[in-house]
Amino acid sequence: MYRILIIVGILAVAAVAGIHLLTVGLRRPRFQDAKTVTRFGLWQRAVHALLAATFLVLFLTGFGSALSGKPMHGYVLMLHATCAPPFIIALMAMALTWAHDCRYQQHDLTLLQACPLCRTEPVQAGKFNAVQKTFFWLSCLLALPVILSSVLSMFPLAGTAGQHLLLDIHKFTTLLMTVTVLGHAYFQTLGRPGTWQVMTSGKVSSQWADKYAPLWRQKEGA
Amino acid sequence: MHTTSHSCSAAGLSFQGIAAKVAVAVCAAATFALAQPNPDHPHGSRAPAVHRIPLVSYQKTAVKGDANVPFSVEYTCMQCHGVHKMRSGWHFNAIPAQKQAYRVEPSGTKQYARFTLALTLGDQTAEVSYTAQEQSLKAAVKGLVAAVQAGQGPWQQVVATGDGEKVTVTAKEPGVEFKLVGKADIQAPTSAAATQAAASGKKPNLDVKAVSDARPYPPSGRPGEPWVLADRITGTQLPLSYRPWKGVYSPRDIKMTNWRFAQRFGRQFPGGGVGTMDAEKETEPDQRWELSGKLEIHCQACHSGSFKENMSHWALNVDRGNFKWAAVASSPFGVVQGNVLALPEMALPEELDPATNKDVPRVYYNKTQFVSNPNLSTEEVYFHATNRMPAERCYFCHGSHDVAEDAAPIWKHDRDVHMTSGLSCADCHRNGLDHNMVRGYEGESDDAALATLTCRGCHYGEGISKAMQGRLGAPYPAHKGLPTVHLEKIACTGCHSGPMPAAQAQLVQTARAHALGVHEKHGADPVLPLISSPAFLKGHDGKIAPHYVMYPAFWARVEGDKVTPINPAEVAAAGKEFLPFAKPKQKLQDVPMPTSEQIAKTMAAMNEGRKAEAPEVVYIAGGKLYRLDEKKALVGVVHEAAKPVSWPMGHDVRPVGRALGAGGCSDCHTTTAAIFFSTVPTLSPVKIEEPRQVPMYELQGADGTYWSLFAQSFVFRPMLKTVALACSGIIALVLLAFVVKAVAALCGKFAPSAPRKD
Repeated sequence: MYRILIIVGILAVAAVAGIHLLTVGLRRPRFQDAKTVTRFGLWQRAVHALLAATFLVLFLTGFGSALSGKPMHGYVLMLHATCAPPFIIALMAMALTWAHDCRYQQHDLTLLQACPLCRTEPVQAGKFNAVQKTFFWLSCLLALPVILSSVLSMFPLAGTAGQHLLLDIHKFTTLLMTVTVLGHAYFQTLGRPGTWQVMTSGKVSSQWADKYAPLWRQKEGA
Repeated sequence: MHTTSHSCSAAGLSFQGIAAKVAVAVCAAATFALAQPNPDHPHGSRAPAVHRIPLVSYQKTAVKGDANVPFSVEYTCMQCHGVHKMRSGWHFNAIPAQKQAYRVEPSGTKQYARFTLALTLGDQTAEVSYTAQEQSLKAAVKGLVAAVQAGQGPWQQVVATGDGEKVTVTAKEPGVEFKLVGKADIQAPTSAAATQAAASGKKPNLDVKAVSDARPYPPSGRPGEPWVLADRITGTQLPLSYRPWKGVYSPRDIKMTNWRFAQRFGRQFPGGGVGTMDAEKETEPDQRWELSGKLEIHCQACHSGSFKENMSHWALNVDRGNFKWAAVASSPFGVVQGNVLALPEMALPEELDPATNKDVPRVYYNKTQFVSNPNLSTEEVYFHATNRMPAERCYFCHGSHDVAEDAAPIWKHDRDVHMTSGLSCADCHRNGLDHNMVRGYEGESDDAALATLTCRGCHYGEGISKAMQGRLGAPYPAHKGLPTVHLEKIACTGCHSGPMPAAQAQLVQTARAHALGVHEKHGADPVLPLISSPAFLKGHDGKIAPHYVMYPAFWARVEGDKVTPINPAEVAAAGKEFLPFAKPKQKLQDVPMPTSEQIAKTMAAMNEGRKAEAPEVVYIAGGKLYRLDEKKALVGVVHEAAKPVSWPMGHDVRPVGRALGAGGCSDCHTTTAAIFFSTVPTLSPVKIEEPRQVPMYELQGADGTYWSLFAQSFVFRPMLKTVALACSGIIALVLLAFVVKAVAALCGKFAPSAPRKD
């Protein structure tokens, strides 16, 4: 059952991403101007890189084992358990770093009220648009059951039934978080060309900023 | 009176004989009448059945207090109980029932084909053959079907049908399985017939197809404790069993007759099985069935509720070959004198006179135990028989104790927690009339009432029968903080059973291997075999569980990959110039064991003149196979046949507070934890090399580096918990703070969409 849900979840993200790419993503402009603006500083890039790297390992080890139908064990389990603490720390850092920028604003309603995925025209957006903010808050929200379901199982609190419940919570919330993260990953790479460079250089072109984060651009310009 | 007596004697029957037979007949009829309904069928009463019954001899005559013949347990108990139904029970079914081949001999000189069906029962194969004069498959199948149906062997409850192309064999009783392998074996008969066949050009190409996958007895199931043939002089500790368990050999592999097996090991099994099989057919010189009689099922070995039932005397008499006297000797009714093994080898029963030969077994009954019953014109004795056997009866054959130098004495050990809670062995290890006992491991049975008689079944019920949860008052395990993967990887016994593990598995003696509880340990070496426990190995289900472990030591012939053990007697004879020997009346534990030099010389002698293609004689011990190099020195190599043999340890179950894990993760997840890092020494009767300490992870086939790294990661576990909880708290606070802000904004106004001024 869980294996089917994993496959369905990942395929659903891929399907939505594919449709979006064909209908919207491919029509979006590629910005070539040399003028750039700094969007992420070193700290933000480090947090993001840590999050991405640890998530990738946890995703591969966790869902790899689940898809194989066997309990996670051996070096895979060790890798999973080793990457979990930095991921947790990175999640906390993420919450502290971007929570302020991810507050919903009145202008976010414009995007949320329409079909946020289908819009190609410029929107009013601060540093992050409403979709990004939603991904952020969903990630923060899901982080709690993901972390606690794992950590609480290490305390002598839950019996066998409780352990099963905690494991199930861990499995299903990680699946939801994975869907969220994969969606985020798509929209910040293929879905919106010119965005992924923030992960490496921390900069985007000024045209990109004017188009996708005009309010933040105004603020930065000011 | 005189005339009558005389006439009866003339007819070959004495008055006493007739009277005895009449008495038994009357008594049997009365017993049956009184016992209605048949006690083998539950009559609903929970009150114990009182067994004051007459004893019946092997000649089916009544045995009185002044008799000097043994009583037959089977005939005595069979007055009411269907003993024949019990023969397929777990304690008696290691060896299948008597094998029998059916053959229709050819007549005339025509070409014929012999068709054979091999009936496979565990590692035993019996054949049903039919010889057809014509090459007609239909005729052959018909003949085979008839042969199977007429069979008296283990397949007698089989209905066979043949449609001309295949034979289908099914058991009459549900649940009885049978494996039938069919083959058509075209014989090359007499030379005349072969010539005729060749001339006719008729070469039948027939194939009797098989058929069903079944056997009449329960499968051998999870490996259990094998019998161990220990012999100091040749440095042998060879695991034997008629059950095809991994790592054990069949007694037939060393040409051990059923009689010798029963004499050697019958001390600690309750008769039946090998003690009654093939008695008439065994013709090897190493058997004395005519004198010893059969070693019948000894009901009271298990069912006696009396501590007067002395199984040590049973063991003594089995060791002496007094098979049919052993039950009397163990009973409170009589004493046995004599020793079949001391009788001349070629002696026949009719030649032996107990009056002149003290070694001829003779019974002296305790007359005070016999009560005259005028109603039945016979005498009766009281059997304290119970179907709620005390654990002490089981302990005679099933038990162990530590013999390590620093081992705590028995009185310091605690009993199994189930025993202290008031259960007895038979509360879980139950059986019906067929005596197919519940062994109590998972997967043994699909019947919820039986499948729940396991650790998990009683305590959890989950996956088997939730309704049976808490059976026998079993508490539901909390297992708080124990990740569920442990329940998938470790058997319940892994944490809960056996002695608390130490850094090294300890030497133990088991009841069956070392004749515990037997006076003077007849026929058993108090030292050999060298068995260690607890060893944490993967069991038949792949889960880690505590086991007993023994590195086999034996002489063998090796031909390619095939290793065939050699009977120690053969080795002793071949190496009598080199091997140590027992002095007259020397105690077994004082007999020296051979040195590596003696082993090498014996091996050289046994391989002398060996042709290149002939099997090589080797010695296997301590985890290695030893052979001679060019310099006639022993060289050891790792070999599959030298791997340790193991069997699971189900008891003694420790209470929750003394289970592994009760002290936290570090009970098992440290770099010194017994479950992975304690060791088992490669003990050998002969010191050829220093024993190697084999870590548990190696025996489990696991990666030691991984378990070491994993254990070390637990150093950081508290830090991980702290960090994770702290991070969760901070994330929660962030969420809470912004939710509050959002709610405040929603209640008042949205935050300004323009860039903030601050």
